[in-house]
Amino acid sequence: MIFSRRHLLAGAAALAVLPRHAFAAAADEAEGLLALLPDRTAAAKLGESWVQQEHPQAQAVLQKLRNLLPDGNAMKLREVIAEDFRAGAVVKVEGWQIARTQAELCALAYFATTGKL
Amino acid sequence: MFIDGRTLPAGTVIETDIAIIGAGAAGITLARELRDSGRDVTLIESGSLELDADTQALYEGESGAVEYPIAESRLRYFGGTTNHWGGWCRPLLPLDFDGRTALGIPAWPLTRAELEPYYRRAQPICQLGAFDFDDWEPWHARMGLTPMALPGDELVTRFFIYSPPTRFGETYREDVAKAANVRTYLNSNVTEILPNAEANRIERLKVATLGGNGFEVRPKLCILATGGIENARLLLASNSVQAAGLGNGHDLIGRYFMEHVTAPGDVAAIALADETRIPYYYLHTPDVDQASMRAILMPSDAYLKRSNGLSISLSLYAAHKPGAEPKADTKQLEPAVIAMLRSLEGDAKDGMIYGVACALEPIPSAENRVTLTRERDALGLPKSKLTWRPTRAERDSLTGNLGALARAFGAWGGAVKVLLPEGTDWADDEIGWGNHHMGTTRMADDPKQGVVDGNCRVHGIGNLLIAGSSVFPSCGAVNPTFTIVALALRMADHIKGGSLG
Repeated sequence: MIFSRRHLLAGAAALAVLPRHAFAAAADEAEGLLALLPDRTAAAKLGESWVQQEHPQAQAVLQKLRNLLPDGNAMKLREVIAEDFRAGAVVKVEGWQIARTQAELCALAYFATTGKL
Repeated sequence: MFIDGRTLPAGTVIETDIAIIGAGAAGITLARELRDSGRDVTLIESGSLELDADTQALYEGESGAVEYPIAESRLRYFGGTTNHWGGWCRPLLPLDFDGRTALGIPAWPLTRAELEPYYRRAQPICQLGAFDFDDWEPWHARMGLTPMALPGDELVTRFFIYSPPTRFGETYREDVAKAANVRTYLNSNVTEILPNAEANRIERLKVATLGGNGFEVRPKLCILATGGIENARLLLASNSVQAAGLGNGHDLIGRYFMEHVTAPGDVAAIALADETRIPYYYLHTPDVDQASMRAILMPSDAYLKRSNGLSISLSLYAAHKPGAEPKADTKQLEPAVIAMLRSLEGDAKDGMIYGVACALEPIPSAENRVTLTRERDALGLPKSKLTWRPTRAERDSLTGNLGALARAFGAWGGAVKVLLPEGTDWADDEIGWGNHHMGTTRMADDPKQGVVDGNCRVHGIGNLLIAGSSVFPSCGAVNPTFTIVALALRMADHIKGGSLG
């Protein structure tokens, strides 16, 4: 297949536009989850530490949380966290032992507040 | 009757049925219990009724590993170390008596059930309230208390009941003074326990005073009750007949010294977004009945068996608001952690950081021991050297237990930060202790495993008994005084019943 200059320009334009749409959608989806954090700016600091430690991908974190907590429900979150501790899904962030899901929620806050979603 | 040993003519010989060496928790309990026994009792105490610096200096010795306050951690006058104890009381758990072979923790030659009636009798002696150390229902009925509903089966709530604390030397002085059959010799130091030529019976006690005179006590039955370090020291120094020390045919005296490992500071921090969730009786010591109590966390029996871990008692206190009192960077994340935890609480409480202090069960080790030095005290007795250092296995068990704490509080909506670095051996500045001296003349049915038998009689010496925490083969994670008193009551019963001579 031979690409014309027009195709290439359209493709480049699409690449420029599509991620913006994708970002907006992701941010919207994240918003429901981040509503669980009354002070997301503070929680984002914990998320930042964990991101620097584990280097998770923003979209993967969002996707996992969306699957785990489709309604952004605090009661459900409590159950998920308890299950993490039961299952040994615990991470250490500067010594604090927290459920992996908690770390991911804080990471989501970090991605959202820094425009990395 | 109290008699100042310094006033006795040199060379005085005192014949007695029972000599008790040392007037601390064990010695005074024994003397009180034997008041109406029809036996003549001689209680021999190194100090007087008040602390005296020269007498206290007789405790001075060396540290062989961890720099340990060998003199300051005990008191040498009437009442002994109860003159400064903290009053924390609770019995050892049934599991503590069973031993755990894989950890090198031997079983006791008696069970908790056998000691239970003596614990109950020790309760009023230590001026405690009700005997409710493990069961919530009585506390709920009396005061409406309920436990923290921590999830999982790894940690359980138990109670310490605090003695006022009972100063045995003050509280029971009159009882001892008025007992017609008890004579207490103050300022009188036993410097050697002398057996017969076969070393199977005690014949004489050499007693010296700092005033320079000396006398002799000839007991039919001798009870050594001078504490976990001094009991070993006196037996090792009593070497006129047995060169290795009295009753030391198997090189056990002084070995297996145990201390509860603590930490100079907190071992963990707990963050909770809602500072009202931990009830006050976990954080303070409210008054109940005649005494006060505190709820603590301990591993469940099931968890200890599963994890092959050591027991521990974990006490909590409210340390500071999140992010307050920042030291370097250690507290920078606290507000973030609390912000995260608010996702579970849904309200705007400030949150709190709690400190966690611990007392860890030790693993008895033959290398942790009391020995004698070449240096001598003012009475010519060799000084003691205490070689004690907790092991890596103890540290690993401690961090394992703190993992259980993290899991319990994490699943409950909190977060835990372990403050002890993991994967390393102890650094000197991480090691704390409870001033509990135990295990140096430990109890075992087999003379090759212990110095005294299940009745606290020295193997091979029919009329020598040992009272106090030096006979503990293991010590769980609780303070020793309550068990010392219970064992002394049991010994007194056996003596009065004639089974110990």
